[in-house]
Amino acid sequence: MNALWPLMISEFERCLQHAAAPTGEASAIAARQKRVRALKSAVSVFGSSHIQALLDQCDKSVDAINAQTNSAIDAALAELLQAARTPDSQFDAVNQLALSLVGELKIAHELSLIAKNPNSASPSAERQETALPQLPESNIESSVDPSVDPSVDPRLSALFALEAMQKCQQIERILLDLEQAPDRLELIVPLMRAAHSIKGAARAVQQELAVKLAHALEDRFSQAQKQGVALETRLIELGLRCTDCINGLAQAKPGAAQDAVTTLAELARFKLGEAPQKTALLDQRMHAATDSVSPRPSSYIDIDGADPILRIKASSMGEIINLSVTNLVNLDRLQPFAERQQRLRKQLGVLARALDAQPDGPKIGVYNQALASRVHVDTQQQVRDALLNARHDITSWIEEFGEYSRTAYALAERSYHTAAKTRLRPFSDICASYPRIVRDLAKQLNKQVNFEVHGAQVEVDRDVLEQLESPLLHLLRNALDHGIESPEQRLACGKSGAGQLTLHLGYRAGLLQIELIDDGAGVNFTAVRVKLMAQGMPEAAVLALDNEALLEQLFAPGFSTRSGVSEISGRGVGLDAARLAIKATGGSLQLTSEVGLGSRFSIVVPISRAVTRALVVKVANELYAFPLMRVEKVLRAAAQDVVLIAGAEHLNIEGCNVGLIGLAEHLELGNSDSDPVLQIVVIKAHAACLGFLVQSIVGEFDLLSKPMDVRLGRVADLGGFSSLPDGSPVIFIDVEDLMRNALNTPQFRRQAKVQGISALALVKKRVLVADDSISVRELVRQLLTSQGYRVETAVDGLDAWNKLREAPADLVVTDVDMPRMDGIELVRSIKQDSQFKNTPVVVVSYRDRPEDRARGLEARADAYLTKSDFHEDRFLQTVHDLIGPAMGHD
Amino acid sequence: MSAQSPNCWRTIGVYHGDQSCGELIKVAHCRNCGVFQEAARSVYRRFDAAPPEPIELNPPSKPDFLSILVMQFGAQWLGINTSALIEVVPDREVRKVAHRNALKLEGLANVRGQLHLVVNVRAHFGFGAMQAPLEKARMVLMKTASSTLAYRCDALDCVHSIERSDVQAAPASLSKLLSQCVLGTIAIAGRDVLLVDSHAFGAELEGAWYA
Repeated sequence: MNALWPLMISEFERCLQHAAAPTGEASAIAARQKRVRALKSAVSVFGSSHIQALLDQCDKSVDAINAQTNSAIDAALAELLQAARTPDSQFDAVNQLALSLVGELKIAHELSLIAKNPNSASPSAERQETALPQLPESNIESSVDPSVDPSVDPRLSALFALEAMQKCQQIERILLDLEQAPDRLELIVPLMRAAHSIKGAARAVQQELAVKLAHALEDRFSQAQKQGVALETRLIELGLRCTDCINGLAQAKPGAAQDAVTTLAELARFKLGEAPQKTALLDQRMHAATDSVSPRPSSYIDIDGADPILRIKASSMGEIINLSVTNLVNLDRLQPFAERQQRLRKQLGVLARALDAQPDGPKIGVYNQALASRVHVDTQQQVRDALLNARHDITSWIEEFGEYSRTAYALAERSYHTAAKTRLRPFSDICASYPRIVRDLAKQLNKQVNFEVHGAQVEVDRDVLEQLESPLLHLLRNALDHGIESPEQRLACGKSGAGQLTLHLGYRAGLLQIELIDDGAGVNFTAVRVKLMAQGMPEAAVLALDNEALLEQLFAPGFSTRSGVSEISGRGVGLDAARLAIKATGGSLQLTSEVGLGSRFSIVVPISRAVTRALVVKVANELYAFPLMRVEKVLRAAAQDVVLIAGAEHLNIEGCNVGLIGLAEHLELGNSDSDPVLQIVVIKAHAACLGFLVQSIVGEFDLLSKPMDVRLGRVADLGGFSSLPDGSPVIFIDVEDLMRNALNTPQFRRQAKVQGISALALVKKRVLVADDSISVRELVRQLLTSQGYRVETAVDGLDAWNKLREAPADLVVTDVDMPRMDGIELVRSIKQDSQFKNTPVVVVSYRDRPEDRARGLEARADAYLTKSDFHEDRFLQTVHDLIGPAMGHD
Repeated sequence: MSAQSPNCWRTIGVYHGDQSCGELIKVAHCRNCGVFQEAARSVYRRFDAAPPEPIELNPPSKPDFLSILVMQFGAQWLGINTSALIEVVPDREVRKVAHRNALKLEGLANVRGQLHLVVNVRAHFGFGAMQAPLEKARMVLMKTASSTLAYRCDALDCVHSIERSDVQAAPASLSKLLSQCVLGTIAIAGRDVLLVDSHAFGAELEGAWYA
């Protein structure tokens, strides 16, 4: 029989080349089917073989008009051809390969059937017939090639990384479920399905190792399922490692290939328990698997039931939202049309009545005479009839038009709301990985935890979601490390050994509420008191704090009750950072805790950050908006009520003298007009209160705030752009910045001292100058020192960065071209650092092309000046604009 | 046809006129009148009246044509390659930006829901005051190397197809700033139009608000 083999190979080659050609059309499918059948008869000389079974399966699946099945056939046949082509290939080896390929093809076929008809027979029933493929161990370890084929499109690889991540998450979820209930063998079917899709995807990007890992995973678990025994923890552990390896490979992490090889070898060596207890369990579970509803509700997040998710560029979605808004605004213009039609109907009515009242006929102009002559009006009666018809017509048109405009408006409104909703993402996007994190962490801490997520499908603006990710993770770690006790401690307290950690998500009053509840030990108030005293707080003050106040202390920067720093927590940078991050989204974080019963973190964040309720005002005929949340009061006052205190205008509002500032002058937009009635917007910030005079109040609007155009650089006092419903542009005011700058104006600095707004002493402002040229450094230093600033110099970017971290500066002036770290890099480092990001930076460079400026400003430099036309006055003005005069309070 | 002024339909006709035209008795409406029709035809005759050339496949020597949009800025007419433009929209409200109230950056305008920075071309190149009536102003959206920007022109002529060989060298009297962005000059309908290099023009304007 083996003598025939070399002949067979050439036959294979001929047939498979054609059979494996890409298809798509019916004719191509028919041609492929013919080839497969020819090959089948050729193979039949070897007697009944796995290859024949494979070809049978191909024949069966080939008609399925399904890209997935077709590509599975392609892949299987290509693999077979490759095996047959290898020198000294043996029929038996190829036959063995065919056996495993049959299994794969069958799954693909079943999946396509399920996709076509979800109510068809359960895939698992048929799968049982498939012989269990054995993993040839030598095959795994010998043919490992960790290097990724460079010919693979990087975009494809990126897609694969994403797909692998999603599928691995799915597998992890199932594994974790299995860990909780090792006898729920029906869960293995979706696991194998996920592993199988990873295999297909990995093959497409030629990630051989990932293919092998997915295959081994699928194989081991199907074996376990067949044996019908409860899964061993070791297998689940291996499975989890396998997903890590696949993820590592997909993201091309260093060392991933090595891990993958080890994991593969372990998987291959893994043998299920010696005496498989084939019990009634298998039958029972298999029956359960045939039901679409699982017998127990899944304890983790259910994403499978959710909509499939598309990946679309954010910019194109933004454009769609913009267009739908514009469309909606544009439809407002239909209203005047309707009004004009109504007017015309009225005019026709007036005309008809006038005609009735004048038996001699109306006086008509030359134009109307001409009209009259054209329509050959002979008698008044005909005019009346014509007029009557016209009134009828216009009445029905008005109705038609009204109906059309109503539908058009409703449609436009719906399309806008639908488009705007695309900004929302389900919360499961970030919490899908939590079960695994909790599990690993609990293991590491030798704790037992049941983790549950409720309401993972609530939808939140993607920006908010992104910002919640790290604080939530921190709280989760915190709950595990500080909250949940060890099993022994729990048992001693009379609790169950496993702690309960629950993440509740839901909407409340238009906001997203997140609650993380643990049933651990709760906050140890005594420990907090001791720690506070250790930090130098007087004992009386510490004892005066009630529990609520003590909980607040946990959010103070640098506070940690842990004496040792662990990998998980105890650095004391946690809760305050988490609260800051949540505050940045416009939300809040609260902690309640009961000793011995557990703690509850409550987070409330706006569902969408992009839409801001705003107070729109007119300033020097321009529209500007205050975020409504920051407006203390809006009021009118008579001009004669204004009093002068220390040279600044003040108004007595509810017994308090509030300083007034003309917003138009402050924003350099012109002059406030001298109306006897003043319109004032009162803002409170930085422990001070100021009234801003505006021209008029336009109203309250929900505005979609967009960031400033990067080409403008940082503009003082401004926060973003938006447009009103009628399309006119509005500029958002950054209230914090506005207040800071307003309080820095001469009249209010004086005032601040008088009123004690700021108790800080006046200090010389510190400027850090980085330039590799000593002459420029000296020039800038002298210039600034002459104005009273304190100046530090640095010889390059890295030096400046180090000096800044040693002692913060009020302003950084930097060159671009410097050794070690250039200026742009320095700006970027400063602006990305949470401590220094608000430190203004002025770039002074020889580079004067617009793209150089753009580069500087894109790195978020606050100003960009060129050395070629360096002007002392302009430089000093810029410095003054950014940080004010040399003496000041912070 | 009586010897009427070209805009007679606005003065003595039915288009906001007093309808005193004697012709109306005959024709009832200006649109039936020969004067009006002739005026309409002349709009189309503004351009070359020659019939379009037959399109040849594989033409032996293809003359190098350029499509340019001709716009007025103060006293100056500029032509810019249409491929650099995104769209021309009616003039609209421009919001001044606080602290950036330099002459050269007019502010922000909303075009189809997108906010664009509006540059003042007249001020930047020193083309002088606006010369066309206000209602002729248009807003032009242009692509630049990195983004888009908008500017207002006083008036638009239209898109002209020009032959590259007809472009003359730019006069030496141009300002340094302008000569950096000008490819040459071309006479269109009796006007000297400066043909601008869209890349240089865009880059120059983009730098305008840094200055």
